[in-house]
Amino acid sequence: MIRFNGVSKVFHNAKNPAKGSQAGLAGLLGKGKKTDGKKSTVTALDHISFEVKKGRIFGLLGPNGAGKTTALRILSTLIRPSEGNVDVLGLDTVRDSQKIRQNLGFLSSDMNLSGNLSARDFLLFFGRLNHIEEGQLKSRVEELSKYLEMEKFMDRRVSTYSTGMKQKTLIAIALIHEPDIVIFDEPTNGLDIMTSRVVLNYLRDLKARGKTIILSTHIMTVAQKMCDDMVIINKGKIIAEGTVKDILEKTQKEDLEDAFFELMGVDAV
Amino acid sequence: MKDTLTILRKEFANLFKDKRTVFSILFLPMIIFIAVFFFMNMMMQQEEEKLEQTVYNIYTNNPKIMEQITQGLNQSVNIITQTDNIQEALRDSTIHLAVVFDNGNSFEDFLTDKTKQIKMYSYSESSVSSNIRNSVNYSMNQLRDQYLREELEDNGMSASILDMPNLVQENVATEKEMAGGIFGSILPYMLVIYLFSASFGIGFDTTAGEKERQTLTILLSNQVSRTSIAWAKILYIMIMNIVTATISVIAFSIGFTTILTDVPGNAMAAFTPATIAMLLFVTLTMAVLVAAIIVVVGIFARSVKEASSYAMPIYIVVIIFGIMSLQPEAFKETSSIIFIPLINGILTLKQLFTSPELPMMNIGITLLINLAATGVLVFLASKMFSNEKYVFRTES
Repeated sequence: MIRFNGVSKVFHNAKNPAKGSQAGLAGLLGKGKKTDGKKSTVTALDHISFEVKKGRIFGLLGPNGAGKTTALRILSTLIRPSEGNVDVLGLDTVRDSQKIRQNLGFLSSDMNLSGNLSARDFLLFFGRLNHIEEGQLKSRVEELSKYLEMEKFMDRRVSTYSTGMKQKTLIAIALIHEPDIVIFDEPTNGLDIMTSRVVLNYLRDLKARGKTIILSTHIMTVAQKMCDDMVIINKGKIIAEGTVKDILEKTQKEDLEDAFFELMGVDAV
Repeated sequence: MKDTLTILRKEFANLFKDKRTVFSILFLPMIIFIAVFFFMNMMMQQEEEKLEQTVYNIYTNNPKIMEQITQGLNQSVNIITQTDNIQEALRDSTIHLAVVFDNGNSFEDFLTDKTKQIKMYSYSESSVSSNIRNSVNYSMNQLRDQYLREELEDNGMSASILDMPNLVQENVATEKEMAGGIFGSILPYMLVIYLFSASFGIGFDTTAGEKERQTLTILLSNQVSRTSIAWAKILYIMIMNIVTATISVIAFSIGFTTILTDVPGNAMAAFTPATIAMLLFVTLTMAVLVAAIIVVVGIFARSVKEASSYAMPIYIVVIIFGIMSLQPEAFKETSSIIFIPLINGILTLKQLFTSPELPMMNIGITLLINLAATGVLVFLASKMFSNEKYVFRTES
């Protein structure tokens, strides 16, 4: 379904390789940064390989600056790998980027909405860009707004939205064309506990409908509940992979958070 | 093409939902131009009335001769013979003119004896002082002519020698040429300025601004092609800069031709159907090229601020050529400028209004070069939209 084959990503003179987070970069600067005269390079991903199976929820875990967003951006064809390749549904992310994007729904933590349009306007716009027939699109908009509890703010300007409202709208945009592969980078960011539950339930629903979901999060309780398979990456390298059970067995811990800290070499509180 | 139109519709929907932006882009230029000309006209009229109603204080040491000089003037004059300091009195407008005569009984004494001097003091920073100085100068010339006329007649000679010959003047310029000269000078300058200035705000907002606000990634992660995105942004900027430039030029023309002054000849004679069609073609190629430049600069820049600083040198060069075109004789001959994208539009527009024939060769070259340059920039823009180096290049 999806396969990362020895993928590396090196940023040259990178101020902002992942998402403009200097804090995220700081973690990379330790081992990843190399200085060659005036030029500096940052290795965000270092020869990573893994496979995501169809119809499963796959977790991409790691601390800030580990390379999660870079991996997801490569998968969503926004950036190219420096080395290796990513195969999605038998297509290459570099050569067949537009075809791959037809089957992807991407939510990234660095996405934002602004301007005078409403959530409804945005959903209709992205639906039309995905060539959804008008009648079908309208019922799809209603379905998403109902499921994600967006009815109250559907027709308000997005510039007046709270973080949670924006996040719900972005999730709905990513799903408007019913993609086969859903990539969610920190989907519960900025959401209250009730809204987070709605979103996570929706992801389970998508899985039940045969969709493949790639979930990046640093919230281990979410990962433990949601993910069938996962990789944990740190400083651009995979440090553990398998099911939750595999990782707990490997670290001899009882929950994923403790296992994660163990793998990071940090004592759990 | 369908995706391009979908994005274009979304951009306009976003724009038209903000009433303040619509007002500032579409209506403000018109209001400003008409208001500016209205106030200029009003101020000029007020100044004229003020000059007519002013009582001009003239200091002199010889009121007799001064009265002789000023008796023919239309203005009300008050002759003063006492002042402490001429310069200070002129500066503080206690007096508006000072005329100091050497010894003499009449103005004629100063015409016949050149050793005698009349010293006139005025203050050029005051319109009242300048006005009365000109009037007094004119009056003295009149007195000199009158004296000369009397002298000639006393000596048995005809004074008609002083009159101008029977001169019949005829201007062979057609009404189209007279009006065209005015529009040919102003239109290219106005158009390039407004095509650029109207593009800056919305152009950089929809490119560098979207990068800054992190709203571009959503669009890029969609299945839409980068070329469609580039074209949509270019068309959006182009439509807006054409609309703004057209409104501004129309408002300027209304103000210029009807409120402030009379254009020689029939102003509308410059606008034949063929001229309008060619004006439209040339302006369109300039507008699309400006839009393409703005999009490329906007994607390249990290922020709106940086984009503005990158575009400024291009804008300044274009303005310089625009200012050059204001000179009546500039760009009347075709030169190698015709091969410079965008600048060639200024030359062609100038010739469009000032040449007796339509400059078809120049119009063709301008269209070809500008569209070719636009094509290159669209290609570049679509590549840049696919390139992470530019798409994720932000200051944050």
